Amino acid sequence: MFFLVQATDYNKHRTLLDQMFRLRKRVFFDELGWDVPVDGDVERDGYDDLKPAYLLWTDEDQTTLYGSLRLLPTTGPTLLNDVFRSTYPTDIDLCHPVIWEGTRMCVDTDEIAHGLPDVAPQDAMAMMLVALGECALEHGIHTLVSNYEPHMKRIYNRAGAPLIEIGKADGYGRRPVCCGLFEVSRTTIDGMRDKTGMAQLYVKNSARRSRQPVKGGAWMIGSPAPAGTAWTNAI
Amino acid sequence: MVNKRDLLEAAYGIVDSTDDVQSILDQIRDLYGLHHCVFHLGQTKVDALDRPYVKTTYPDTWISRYLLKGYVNVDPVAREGFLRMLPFDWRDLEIDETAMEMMMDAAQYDIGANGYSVPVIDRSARRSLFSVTSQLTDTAWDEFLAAHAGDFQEIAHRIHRKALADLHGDIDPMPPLGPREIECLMWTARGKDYAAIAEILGLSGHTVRGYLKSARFKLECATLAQAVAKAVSLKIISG
Repeated sequence: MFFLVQATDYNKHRTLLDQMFRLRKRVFFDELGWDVPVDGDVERDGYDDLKPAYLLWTDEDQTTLYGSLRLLPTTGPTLLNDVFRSTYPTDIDLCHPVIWEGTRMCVDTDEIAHGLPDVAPQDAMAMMLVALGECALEHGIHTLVSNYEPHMKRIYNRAGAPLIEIGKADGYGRRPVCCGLFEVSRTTIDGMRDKTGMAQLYVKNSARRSRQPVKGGAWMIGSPAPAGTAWTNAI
Repeated sequence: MVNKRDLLEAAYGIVDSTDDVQSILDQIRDLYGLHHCVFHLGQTKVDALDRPYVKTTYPDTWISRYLLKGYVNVDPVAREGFLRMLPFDWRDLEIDETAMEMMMDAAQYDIGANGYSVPVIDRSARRSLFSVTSQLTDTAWDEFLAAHAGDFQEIAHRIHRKALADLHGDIDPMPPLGPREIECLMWTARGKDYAAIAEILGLSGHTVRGYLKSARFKLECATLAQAVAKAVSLKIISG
């Protein structure tokens, strides 16, 4: 299942986030050789201190992590602006509350092979992209700015995700790191669903799902508890 | 009936022409037919007094009650608003028993049936929270948000900058326009629409819209026409 974890739920999902920081170290430092800060077996940088939202892909019990991505709005400090500043001065320095940057997208191929044997490795990233698109659309995000290695373009294509490359920087890892814009709209998400046959991977409010309904109803100010409040959405 | 674009333009006009944040909130509330508005600037290191910066249209009786009962430690909007990064409907909040007590109390003070909050973060990582409440009930509120949630996100950032100016007398400059943003503005000035600019620059229409959205936001304008005029007057592009 795919869901967002914001800082309100970091503690609740501490072990998943720990798995994420370790996965990021293995993927970005060990495998891709990116110049990222590593402390022991985890990779974490200053942008993780800004209370980003993380899109997580886990098993149904929310105990094993399959993949993750970090989301921050471009009105605040952005990794991409800082990283690409040297090569592409201000081209990617977009700034708007509905333009977000997605960084550190990765999947754990071992855990996926073990827990989701039906998911081919090349489909795993495509699933992340479909879920990311659905998540962005759900939360009113208009455009995603992301960085990726050149070969990822094939994966975006496979997922039917319209990606416009707007910059490329050398010296961050072994291969160049590209920066692209990913358009989020009902049309593009439907296109991705058609192309991949995958739909509704992202589940809103699922970080907070509980097996018991919230005692006393969900909302009391002057109105009866509406249908579709937090816990009911999550089941 | 005022159309949607005119509303955002009017909101920008209010922020532009008013220095007092309280008065901005009063006017935004009336403009959108809201029940109440609240703006809360996060703790800043610069603020030696550690005095919270909160402006609101809530009735004084509720504010006194809120302070008296120490609700700031219970209030799920305040508690979660500075942790969340994405805007949220208050129906998505996790309400525990103490919060429920506060909510029932709040209902007596008529603060509104529904609420929506926009977390703000700026380039210096300063945070604030802008919330609006309404007497609309669920279906009508959903429709209202579908139409105006985007406006509130922009308005929240504009008020954030006003509050920083109010508090510290100066604010960070907006980030400079990038070359693509400038190109898109220049072609807009020459009368080209999204599709034409996309073709000229070899980009998708959506990408052009993204660049223009960002350029307009950086120039602090509600409409593209105003952004073009401002870019010309600042000599960023030639007229």
